[in-house]
Amino acid sequence: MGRILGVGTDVVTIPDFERRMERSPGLEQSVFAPEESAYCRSMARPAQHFAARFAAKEAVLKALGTGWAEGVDFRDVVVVRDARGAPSVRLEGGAAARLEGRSARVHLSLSHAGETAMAVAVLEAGEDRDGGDS
Amino acid sequence: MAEIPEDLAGEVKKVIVECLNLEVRPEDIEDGAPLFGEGLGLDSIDALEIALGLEKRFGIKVQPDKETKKYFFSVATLVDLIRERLQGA
Repeated sequence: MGRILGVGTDVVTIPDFERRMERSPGLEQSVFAPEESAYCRSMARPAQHFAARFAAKEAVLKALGTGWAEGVDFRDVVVVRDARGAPSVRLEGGAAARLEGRSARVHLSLSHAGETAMAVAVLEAGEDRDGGDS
Repeated sequence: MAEIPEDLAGEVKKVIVECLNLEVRPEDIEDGAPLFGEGLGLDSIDALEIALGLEKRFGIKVQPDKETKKYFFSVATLVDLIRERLQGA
């Protein structure tokens, strides 16, 4: 296990997030990468997955020690699923630039219960591994 | 140059209240009061929604990013951003 560079957490109310996506149709494109939208829309309850992904993006930004709009776009944090179906993160653009060339791995855990979705992100220094065991 | 509404601050307040479905009246929002965190207590998603609302209303690009971040503070600073964009259009 490498040195922990940061930790972040975020909680999102699913119906509230769903309402916001409905009233501002452009929001989905501003926040989610096309592959994230496609994944969420393929699920029986898309709102639950959109909310969890948004929580993940906020949590990862907190772990990176940056906030939204500080040169980091929500779409720079892409939640993907590894071969075993576990969520992991691909950093792009401004989010990747925050690492300033350092090698780091993001550990991500998502959960939801009732109307709440939450995410925890841990940023670990070390070699990037593609969905492997730590 | 695009036409700039006379009461630009009033228009911005209307967009904010309408696109976020807020329970305050547009005229109750102070021009210089912070919109995010303290003040009106809006969050990052609200900012994105405001940007989308302003883009629709004024036909300009104002997505929050590194360059425009300083303008996402109050109605007065958003007015500066819109004025700049409309004059540059």
